[in-house]
Amino acid sequence: VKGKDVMNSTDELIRQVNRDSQEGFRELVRMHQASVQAYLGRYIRNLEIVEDLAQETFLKVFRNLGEYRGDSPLRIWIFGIARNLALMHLRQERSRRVRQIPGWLAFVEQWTMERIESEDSSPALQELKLSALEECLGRLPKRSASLIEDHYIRGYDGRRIAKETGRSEVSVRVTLLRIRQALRDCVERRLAAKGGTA
Amino acid sequence: MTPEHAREAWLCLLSGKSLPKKEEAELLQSLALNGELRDQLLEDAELDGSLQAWGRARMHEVSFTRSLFYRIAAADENTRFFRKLEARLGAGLPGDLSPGEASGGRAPVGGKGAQPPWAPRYTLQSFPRNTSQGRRTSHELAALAGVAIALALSALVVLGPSDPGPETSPRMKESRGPAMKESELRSDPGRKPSNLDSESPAHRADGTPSVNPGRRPRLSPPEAEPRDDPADRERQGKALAVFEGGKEPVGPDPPVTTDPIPPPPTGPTREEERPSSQEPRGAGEEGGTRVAIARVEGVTGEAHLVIKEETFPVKPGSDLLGGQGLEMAGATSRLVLRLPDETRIELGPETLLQEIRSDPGIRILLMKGSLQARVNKQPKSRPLVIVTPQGEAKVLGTTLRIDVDPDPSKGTRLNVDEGKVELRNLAGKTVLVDGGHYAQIAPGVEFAAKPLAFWEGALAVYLFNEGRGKTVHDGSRKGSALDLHIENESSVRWQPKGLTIVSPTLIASVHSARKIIDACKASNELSVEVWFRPATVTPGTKDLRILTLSADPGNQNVMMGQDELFGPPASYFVRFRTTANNAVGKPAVASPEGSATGNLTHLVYTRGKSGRAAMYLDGREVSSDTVPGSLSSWNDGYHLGLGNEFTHDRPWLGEYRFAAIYGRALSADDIKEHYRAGVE
Repeated sequence: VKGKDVMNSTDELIRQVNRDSQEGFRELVRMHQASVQAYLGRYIRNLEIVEDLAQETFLKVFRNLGEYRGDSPLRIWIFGIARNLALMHLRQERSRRVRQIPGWLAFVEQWTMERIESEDSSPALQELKLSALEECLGRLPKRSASLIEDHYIRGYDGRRIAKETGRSEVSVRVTLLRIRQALRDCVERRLAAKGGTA
Repeated sequence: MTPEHAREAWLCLLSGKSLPKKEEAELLQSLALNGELRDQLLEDAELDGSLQAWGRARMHEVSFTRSLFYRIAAADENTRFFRKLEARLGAGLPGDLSPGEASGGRAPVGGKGAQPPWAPRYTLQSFPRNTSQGRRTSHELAALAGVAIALALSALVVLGPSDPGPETSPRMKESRGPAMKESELRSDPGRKPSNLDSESPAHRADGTPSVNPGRRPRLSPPEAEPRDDPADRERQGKALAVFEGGKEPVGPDPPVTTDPIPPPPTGPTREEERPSSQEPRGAGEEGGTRVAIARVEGVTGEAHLVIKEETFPVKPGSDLLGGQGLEMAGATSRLVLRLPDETRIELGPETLLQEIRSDPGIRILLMKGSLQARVNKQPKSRPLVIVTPQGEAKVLGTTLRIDVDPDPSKGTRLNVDEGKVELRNLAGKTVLVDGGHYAQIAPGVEFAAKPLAFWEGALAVYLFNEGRGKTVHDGSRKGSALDLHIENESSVRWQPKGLTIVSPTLIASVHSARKIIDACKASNELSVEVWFRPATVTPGTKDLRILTLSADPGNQNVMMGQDELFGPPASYFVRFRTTANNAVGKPAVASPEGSATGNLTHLVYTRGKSGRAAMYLDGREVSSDTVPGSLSSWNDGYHLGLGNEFTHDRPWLGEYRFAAIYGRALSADDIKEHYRAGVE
């Protein structure tokens, strides 16, 4: 159900939304909200703000869907809106300060701003990366998938997972790091295979 | 620090743990020197953040969509308001409210080139920014999270007034190159406030960095600061005078003895972790030795230790010394304090306990917010005294709740569940408040003990006495109000003492009912109580929703309804989800066939931690069952709804007079008493 079918169903969805269908818009949100939040989560680690910016993104989608021209996949168009909102948010936060924040926090801010302003955060590339990540998540070994699900979806912290699995907390943290490393490697391989840049 | 060690230290920070100051400084130095390692770890943090957000999005898909549609509806309403306003002013629409134009060029998908017909027709730029208010609210919450994080970091790395830190710190400050992301000092991975972004708003809150040790971050905008108001300053001054003792305008100090309050039974105080220059003197010191007055037993949300003008993050196990205070930030924050005599004190959201002292009885200065206490018997000569801007409460041993509203017109309210408390106002008048009674010190309010409402202690209460409007207010005064929004005002009729739904609509909370869900999960108990009159006893359809805490027909925590599908006709039923049944909580507990009448009805469902569930109709138990299991399978994101399911396909018609949800199982006697109290 990839490729052309998805394109067709997305086009149909947009037609539905433009034809006065709240259900169509609800479905559109359902299809893209997790990836939009995942995209924003790369740059903004406060999850409340991520959710808030994601909602604002969809508000803008709602207002401007009529202007979407279909010359790029819808998700990339939505990511573009999300990226602008994230950038605006980070800039506003920086400009609100009366004086420079101390050294180490300045590093973090500088680094994040550079990342989001760079090509590396371009919606098209990030869409590719997230799609690849979804595929890679689906190919994780069962135990790794279970750990990812416990930690990231159920929200269990390392201590709880350690207690339930009889492992040490450090071991859980290191295992999660290794799984993330494996996911990054997998994403890079897939991007390279598709001719993208990791 | 070796790369391997740096990775481990990084993971510690990422998982919300803190590092010793020296170790964190070494980590920073390693990352500054090793670009490859730094990039690896930062990329790892990005992926971690992405997965966190993705996981949360997966868990909260329903509530995300619902909130979004509410925001759209609110924006639409605002737009209409502006149009009306402009029309009244006769000025027509201003430029920024002009209708949107279809984009030029290639025809858009869908062929219209404009917004959906059901969308308000204004350009993106003209979109009413009413939504920014909601966003600011959440940003303010983030700001509060930022305060905690930034202060933790400052204590660890950047600012150490008594310890300038390792040599590496100045170097780190000088650099402007890419660097590592801030560690996430998160205690709950499911709700992780975190690094850069959550730090930033802390600066916004008062315009200065929260890590400045000489300033205490303000937790509310300047215009909301009570200290800016001379009247408030006066009130605060009076309260402080009462608190200081000796100059007390409301009566003499309790007799002073020299008996020290013994330290908590376990663990040392944490004074060695705080800069010596910040240590308060006076109360709480015994012969030069600082003595802990209380210990923090548990913290939910954000809480700060207040030492003079500075705040520090507070964690379970922290000791509270004389002269120190606590400040609760955020709408869901809670903190439990335990005194050496096992007295339990719970602080609610947005509470400022400015100072605690052993003088020699415990004296607490409560400037705003709520405090609940189960006070063990105190010596007569050393009562526990809670001082507020409006008066003071002397407690010798009881269970009580005291609320100090930031709005001076609402003042101080004392509820006493058991025992007796002496409440005194600033004029020196004293009222003895017995168990089951309350008293309030506020302008225009009679200063006398009055009986508590029967629903006192409920997690959410709806009296339906608003008389007009689109909101049904939560009158519980328990945590943040869980108000309900009427989707279609024309579908309801306000009555002198109730609200009648005359055609299908939904009355629902805008936010998830977390305060109910959290409390019930913690207690493993629940009661739902509703006074209502159904429009008909033989509705044409089944499974009609009187009250529901759910997402859709297939996903419910608890639901009270009329006429279950395949259930007895003309009856009521309740489904209650636990780990031992399915996502809709079947099988239901139902009242007998024909028990539904067209009269005003009192329906109560209770489920205790033993698993016993019972339904009471007009004060009498009519059915019961065992519903084993725990509530850990309850979904945290569900909203509270009346009159329909969230999918709008289970409409119930009739009149509501009263609805309440409790985090405990009401007893049969309680229920009889509530029924007798009535709603007429």
